[in-house]
Amino acid sequence: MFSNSLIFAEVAPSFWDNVWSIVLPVLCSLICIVVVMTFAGLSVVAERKISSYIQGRWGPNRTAIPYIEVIPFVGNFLKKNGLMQLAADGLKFLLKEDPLPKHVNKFWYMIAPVMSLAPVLIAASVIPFGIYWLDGKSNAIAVANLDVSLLFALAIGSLGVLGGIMAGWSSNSKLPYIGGMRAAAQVISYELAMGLSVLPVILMVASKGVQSPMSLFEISNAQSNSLWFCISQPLSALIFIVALFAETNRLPFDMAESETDIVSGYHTEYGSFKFGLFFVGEYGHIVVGSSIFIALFLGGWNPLPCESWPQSWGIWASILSVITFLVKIAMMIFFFIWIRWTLPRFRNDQVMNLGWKCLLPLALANFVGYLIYTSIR
Amino acid sequence: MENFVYYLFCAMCVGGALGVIVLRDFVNSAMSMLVSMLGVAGLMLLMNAYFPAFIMITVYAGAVMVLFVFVVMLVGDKKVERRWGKQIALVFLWIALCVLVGVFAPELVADSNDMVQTDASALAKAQNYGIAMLGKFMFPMQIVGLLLLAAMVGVIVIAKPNATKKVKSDML
Repeated sequence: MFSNSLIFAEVAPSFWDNVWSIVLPVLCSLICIVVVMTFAGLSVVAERKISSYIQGRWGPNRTAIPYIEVIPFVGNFLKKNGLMQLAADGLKFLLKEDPLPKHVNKFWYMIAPVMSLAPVLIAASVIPFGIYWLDGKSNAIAVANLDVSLLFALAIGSLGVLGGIMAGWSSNSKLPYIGGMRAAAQVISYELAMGLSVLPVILMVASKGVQSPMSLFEISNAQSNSLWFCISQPLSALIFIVALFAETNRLPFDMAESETDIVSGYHTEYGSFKFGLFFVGEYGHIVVGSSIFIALFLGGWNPLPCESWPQSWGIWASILSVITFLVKIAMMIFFFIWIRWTLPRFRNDQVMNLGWKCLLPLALANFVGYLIYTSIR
Repeated sequence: MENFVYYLFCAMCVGGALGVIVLRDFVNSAMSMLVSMLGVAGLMLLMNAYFPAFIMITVYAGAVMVLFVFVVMLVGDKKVERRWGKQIALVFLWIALCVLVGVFAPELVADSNDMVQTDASALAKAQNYGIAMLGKFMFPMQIVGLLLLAAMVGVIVIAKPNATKKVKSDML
């Protein structure tokens, strides 16, 4: 049928080529999922440690592999760093009783956690983790390098909130319901500003003569050996990061699960591994969202503004580019946690006001202003 | 493999569309609509038309979200009684529409193997859509935009509550 489709590799005559054309994408996707999930898991530990550091506590320091302190020199550090808290959290989710309340809508109650995690992992497939050169042509280290990958990431990422809404509705209880409605309102009001804020960036990339300016790879590539877009488009970057905080439900925008007024929001009725899926989905959303932010505004895999890994280094430049990208993700996660313990959280009406009366007009003005600037220049 | 994915997406489209009209619960209907839209987007992906596929997901996933909010605000989780006559009529209408399309536009239901494959990159490139929309189809685009604006203003006028304020007697 659609034999030249890009999703499935060209069907080759040999049987093993056939098998390989299916196994290779699966393998790539698995590696991508492992990277995202590892970062999501580590950010849970990071959240605990950094929160405690900011609040002047020790944080988790008892969870350790038994008898690890006998290792000379580093043993005491390995015992005290609390990295095993990740395993303890995971096991707790696995081993606890899995409650299924009688009053819920069973079908949507069961499917909602999956609906909130799956879009995150799908959107991760277009993240350009690095660059490699084949026959002098630059290619992205990504599972799928689409022509419109930015649009893909934004479209699929916004599907994630449907899981929260369905969880809130199917729980058939007041506080989750309020949480679900708040999640819907928040995403509707911040998605527009987010979409508008990236338009000047796309225009800027297109003005450099790039063929497909909506691809995350091309946007990152346009930032090598030039200023990053967070410097040349500071207002866009600011609007995007604020909208990103709102989309990922992080403090100060944690309306959907504000623990101070509606118990735990849309996942109040959930326990055990179903709650774990929401939890991992939220951190996965942070990882994927900050990857998109890095690719858009923070230069992607380039180490410094106006600097990039030289092509002449070959494979080493590719490896360094991936490491640079991963380090930037880690720094973004730190930034997310830092903001959480620095800014006080908003009230619900303040969130709506900020979205509709401040960010949306600002994004529109930014876009129109950039249009006027480029046309009179 | 491709055939399997193709039929999966087709099943999503048709099943979702059927679900919208036969399911009793409004929320289930809204989610069936989402499934149907995702199926259409998947079919577009198989045709290498990435840009309209993702626009479809962005616009209609957002639309389903708004629809969901309106559904729960206006009707709550009340269920309508199953009225068999109405539902059978709807399904019958749906089949009649399919037959109509099959009779008057047989090229749409032709076997996809017989279809002429257009240049794949023409559908895949987002640039081509922009050039088409702001070039050849500029005037129809503006007309459609105006119609949508008129519809939006009309909805606001209809949905606006009466100017006379009701005094709530049960308020403290």
